[in-house]
Amino acid sequence: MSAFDGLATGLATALAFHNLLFALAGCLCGTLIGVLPGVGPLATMAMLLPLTSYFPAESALIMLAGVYYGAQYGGSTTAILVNLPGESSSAITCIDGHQMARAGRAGVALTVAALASFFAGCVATLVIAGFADGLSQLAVSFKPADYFSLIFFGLIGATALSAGSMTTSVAATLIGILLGCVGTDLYTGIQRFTLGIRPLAAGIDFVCLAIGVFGLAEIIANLTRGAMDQTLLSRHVSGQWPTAEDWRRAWPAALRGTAIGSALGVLPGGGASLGSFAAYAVERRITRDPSRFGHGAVEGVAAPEAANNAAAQTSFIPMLTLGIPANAVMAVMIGALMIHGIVPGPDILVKRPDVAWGLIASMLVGNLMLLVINLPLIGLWVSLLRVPYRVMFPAIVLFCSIGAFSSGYSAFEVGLTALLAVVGFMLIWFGCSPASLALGFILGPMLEEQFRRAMILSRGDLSTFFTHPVSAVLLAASALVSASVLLPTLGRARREAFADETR
Amino acid sequence: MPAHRNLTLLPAMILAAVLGSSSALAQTPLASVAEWPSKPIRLIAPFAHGGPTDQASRTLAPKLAEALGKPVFVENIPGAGSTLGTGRIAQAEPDGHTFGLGHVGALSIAPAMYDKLGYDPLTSYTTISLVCDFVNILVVRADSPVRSVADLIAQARSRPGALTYGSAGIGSSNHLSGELLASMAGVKMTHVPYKGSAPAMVDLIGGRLDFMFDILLNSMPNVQSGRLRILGVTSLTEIPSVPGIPPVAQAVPSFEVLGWVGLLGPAGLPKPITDRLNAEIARIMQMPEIVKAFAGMGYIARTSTPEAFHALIEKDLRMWDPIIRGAGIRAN
Repeated sequence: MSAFDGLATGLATALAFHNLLFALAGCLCGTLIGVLPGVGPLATMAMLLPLTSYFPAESALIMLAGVYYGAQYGGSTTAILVNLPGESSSAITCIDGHQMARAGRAGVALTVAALASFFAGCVATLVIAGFADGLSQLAVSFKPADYFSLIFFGLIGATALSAGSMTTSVAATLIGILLGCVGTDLYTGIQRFTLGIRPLAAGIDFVCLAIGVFGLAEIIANLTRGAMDQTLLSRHVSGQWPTAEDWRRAWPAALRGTAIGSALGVLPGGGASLGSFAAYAVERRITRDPSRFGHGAVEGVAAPEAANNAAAQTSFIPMLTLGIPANAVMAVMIGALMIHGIVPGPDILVKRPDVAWGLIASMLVGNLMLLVINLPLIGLWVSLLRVPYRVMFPAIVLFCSIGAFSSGYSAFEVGLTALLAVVGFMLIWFGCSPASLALGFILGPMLEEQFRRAMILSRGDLSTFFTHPVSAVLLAASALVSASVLLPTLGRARREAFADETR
Repeated sequence: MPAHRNLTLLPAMILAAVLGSSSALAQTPLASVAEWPSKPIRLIAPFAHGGPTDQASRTLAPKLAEALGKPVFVENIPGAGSTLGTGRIAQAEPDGHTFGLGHVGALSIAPAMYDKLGYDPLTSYTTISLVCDFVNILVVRADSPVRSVADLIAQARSRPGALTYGSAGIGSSNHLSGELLASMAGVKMTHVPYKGSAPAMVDLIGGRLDFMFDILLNSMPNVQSGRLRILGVTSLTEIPSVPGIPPVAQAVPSFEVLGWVGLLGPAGLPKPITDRLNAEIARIMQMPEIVKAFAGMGYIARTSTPEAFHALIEKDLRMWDPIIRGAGIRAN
């Protein structure tokens, strides 16, 4: 069956009235939990799972998938409005998205995020329809050494090119890496930096880190600036629609973000969060004026949002073609199929085209639905910013506490989050970027994991990183990026760094 | 539902305060046996959302609720190799309103890996009944030159440490199966841990690992598509779901890895409650839809007496202890 026949079959399934309702229910539910920090798509889907045994298989999948990409959508809303990333993949959207909101351009940021996500979602769906088999081959042939070099490139790229001074961004990244080391070492089972506290054996939950370092720290900082009697919007609020200038900047960024996200989402080793970081790093690299980044650059919203939505979509590929879940969310989707006695795998596209193609087509439908749900809501979200801060911040703190509690169902997580809020505030105080910290926190442990795995598989031979072509190219690119920053003659970024320090 | 529990306890607490005696609270477990269950029941699942064991608890909960006439809530408390949530079961009030699922990892394997566990698998619990068990299968890539378990052992013997196998992490059942095989066959092999067995499976398919032990559920899609080949099952005899596949024990006599999951409560659970639950589980686990749902998750529905469950925990503790200590596997 060709991709077009498949899509036609799938659309017939996805456009059936009851399936449209399932898609709508899933998208609404996902948007809601995406907006609430801490309640992730994983917990929601697991709770919905027993319910799905009463539906047809394709309806169950369509609803669960709606929750998943709905959450990706909703997560960016809080990231932009109150600097609170609901998901690790939207951490990067905070940087420029929230700055846009502070400058009175929250509506534009949310619209760009919604349109970029929609565009990326549609393209990624077509990618799944057309190239699923070839891309699953990519997933299988990607080696630990390649992963290491890719993550290394992401880490170098984003750090070297992040806003502000080089020293502080490296420092924040390193602190993030150290925080990421807390927990049980994967390779030896030895506990690191857990201070004998048992709940820390599983490491620091990203939800706690995001809530503390981004959300709560931002509140403390705002209050010290005397924001008590103001609203979050000090300046004139511009309209919801992007200007011609915004369009011109945003669409190529969304296009690049989509390409990067689609490719990285296929990799089972955490491609979705890597995608948004990589897309952001690329935008900073190719722009003529990197100084705008970190101060509300519209590309800084369009690219990572497109990337994380595309990645969320293409991460279905390993599940559909290999029966291998790329992440825990996909494991739940496989569970839903198993309940109906369908074993996902290479033959699902042939044996149950209604289910597989129905799911793929429902992504198109779901993305359109999300746009329809979200665009009218933007006005509502933005008007929330007009609420006086003394009313607003206790509400945010309440939601943060609920989110922190639900990440581990104990008061310990709430205490940990409060402690991380202090860390986050100190970072802001010293002019470090919380985004660099999050970057180190997410990528650091992945870097270590892949490095040590590559070394075990190569029997301790370091040359493994240079003899594999993908890895070698990525390492060379990392070296190039480092050099361009470190060599003063090439270092545009560095001059800015000094300009920033003396500011 | 901790909030709910506190609310329902409130009248009893006020009564105790009015009477000026705390003994009313202490008697609650015994006094309430007659009207048990008097409030919603908490079922602790010491695993993250989404995995097969989580699904098992969510399949079981509505059936238990139906049988007992009160809602049954699944509460996921993952972390520290399931020992966090399993410890929470031990700390609960033995009034028949908190139970949990205990599995081989937390009850029979973790005690040899952790210094401070916070519970004693043999004395902190009242065992109720086994719920299911599962075997692992040994898989290789379809084009692997290794044709049998005996082949694999011979290769490992001729090139010590050269063969690699993946696992879902230190102390996981795939890891320990590998350690047990190496120890019983007297060979050396290299263990490569992953975060979960899915990424390990990718590397096995990609040809970067030589073999892997895994549960049926994870490997079957790729066995059916011809990417992987099964060399053996870890039960002592053939199993119906993969007919014709010989047990690993054919090459390595008495090699057996059997995983299991069972229902248990905190120590000191009143006997009438244990008996009632045991009877309900025995009935529920025979329902065709439950047997089918569990089979879909790769489990074999299984029940037992409370005593037999306790004896199994003890037997496996004795079996895994020397393997884990011999291999120097620690989690502290």
